[in-house]
Amino acid sequence: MPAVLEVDDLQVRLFDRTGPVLAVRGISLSVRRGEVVALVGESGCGKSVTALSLLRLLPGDAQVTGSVRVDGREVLELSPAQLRTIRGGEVAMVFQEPMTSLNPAFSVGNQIAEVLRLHQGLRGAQARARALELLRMVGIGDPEKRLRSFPHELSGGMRQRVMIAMALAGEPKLLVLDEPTTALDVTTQAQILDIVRDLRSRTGMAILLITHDLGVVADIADRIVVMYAGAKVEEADVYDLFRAPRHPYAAGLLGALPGSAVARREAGRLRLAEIPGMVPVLRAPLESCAFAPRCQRATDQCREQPPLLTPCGPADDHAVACFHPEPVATVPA
Amino acid sequence: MKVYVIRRLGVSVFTLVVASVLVFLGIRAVPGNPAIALTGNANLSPAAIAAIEGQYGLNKPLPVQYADWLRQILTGHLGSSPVTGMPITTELSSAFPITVELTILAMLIGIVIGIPAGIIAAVRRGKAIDYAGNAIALFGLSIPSFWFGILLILIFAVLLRVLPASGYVSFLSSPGSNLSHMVMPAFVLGTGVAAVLMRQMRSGMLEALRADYVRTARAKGLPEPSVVLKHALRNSLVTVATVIGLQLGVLLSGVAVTEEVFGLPGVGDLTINAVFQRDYPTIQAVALITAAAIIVINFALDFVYAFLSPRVRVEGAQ
Repeated sequence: MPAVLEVDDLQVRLFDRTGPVLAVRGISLSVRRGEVVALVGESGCGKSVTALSLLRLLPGDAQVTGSVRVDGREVLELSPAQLRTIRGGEVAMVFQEPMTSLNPAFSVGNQIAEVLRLHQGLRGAQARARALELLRMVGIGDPEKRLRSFPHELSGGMRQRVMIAMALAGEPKLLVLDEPTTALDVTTQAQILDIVRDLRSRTGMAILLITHDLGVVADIADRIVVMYAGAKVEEADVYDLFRAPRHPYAAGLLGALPGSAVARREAGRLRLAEIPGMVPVLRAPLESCAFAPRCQRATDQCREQPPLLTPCGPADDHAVACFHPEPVATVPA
Repeated sequence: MKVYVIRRLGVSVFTLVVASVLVFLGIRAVPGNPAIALTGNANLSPAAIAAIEGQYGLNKPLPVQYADWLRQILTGHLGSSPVTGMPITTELSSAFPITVELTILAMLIGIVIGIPAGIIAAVRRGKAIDYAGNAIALFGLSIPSFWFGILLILIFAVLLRVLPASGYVSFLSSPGSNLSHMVMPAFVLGTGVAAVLMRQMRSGMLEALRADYVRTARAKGLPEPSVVLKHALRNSLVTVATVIGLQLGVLLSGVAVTEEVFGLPGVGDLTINAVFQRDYPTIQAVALITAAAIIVINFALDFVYAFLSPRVRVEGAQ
């Protein structure tokens, strides 16, 4: 099946007050129709920057190189007018903060209708009917009333549902969810994930899910891409990665997740393991493994040259960027 | 909503009463005797002063004077100016239309120049046009209105001879002549307003353009003009509306300097003369009407806020 999204060697350089920041350092990934790919990593690892660069939503001074293809079209080379047909039409995004991502000055109906007008050519009664349908699809009760509501009249979970409905309005081929549940309480998180799962089975949309929450990933993703300091450190089928993470960072993330196989393996310990230290902010290319300073398995080799992403098994679609990957342990299922 | 309006009306009446007391006491606290100012004779005998004070009720206790004044206001009989002998209502009805017209024209000029300039400066932030806009705005804020007024008179009235240097013709008697007299003072005041509005619009717009909902609007595929003029503008207009309200208050209370420069017998001119002459009834009437106008502006502003920001609508209704 052809990939809806193909990202190849994406590099993003941002600028802050002190100079350039290498936010994304050569990310490649693809999402096929009907597939849910999770992009996982700590805050500051570049996952949101990756998401924003897919639709060229980064600030104007950001330098983006590499390739982002949506249905074969190179997004980074599109004219502004062509780009607008992709934004919201082929690729829709749901952002982390439902509180601030909706415009406080316009009603829910107005904001959904904008997308319907732009990408579906619907107006008036037709747009209204479709908006009602979308609100029902994301589980919003009394949609007639909600269409007239303003964002401040809705709860966080409700706003995120509206964001999703708005994203669906353009009937996108790819839905990018950037930390969709981070700002929500646990019960609401579960409801939002149910909606996403339901959408995927009903529409066959490709979904790119960006999150730091491995619990969310285990629930709905098919494949996982683990990012660290702007680069991909491991990619695997969700089942393989949860059972046998090869990169020490991925293993560390799983060790910090209650109930995961890795956490259970180390069940002799009284508390969940944390990864010491923080994600570095890189201002120049590295001559070492970015994770080495935090890694217990690091050797001189790790501090002298950067590891490349290589197939590592046991499954053939499992790849890791590490000189000393974790051994494949036999874990009780 | 009804409760809200009633409560606001109550507050407005209270504010007016407080304003009237302050004006009443304030003018009497100013040094200088009205009888002496009236006659122009500094050596007036105590008997003569007493006679004049008796004529205008100035010898009564202050609360009685205040009550008399209040009754006059409520019955609409403001009496005559002891200085000019003219009924105060006549003086007001000749001065206020001039100032109101000047205010409206100046505000229109300010809005038409300031708001688009602020939007453009924000969208082109850090570009040449942004710096140029800011420089012009700073210039507009810094130059004194009398100097700018005189400069305009020099250019358009003296050198080019296309506009009258001073004076006033009512709009009803000759609209063309009225506007030709008004255009320069309105422009002098309007550019000052434009400078304030431009800076407010620019900063409000910059803030809105950084907001998450603007990113959402772009992610939807909206063209940039819609992103700026719909999503960002609506949210940044709230602070601009506040500044417009404040500026309207300033303009309406009479911009004496500009009125003097262009020889316009407006509220500013009336106030200055009344203050110099210790013309208590006129000062009181002008101050009270100005206060009432500002209260009405603020009242109207609340509805503008409610239109611009639905959140205010709900809070106000509760």
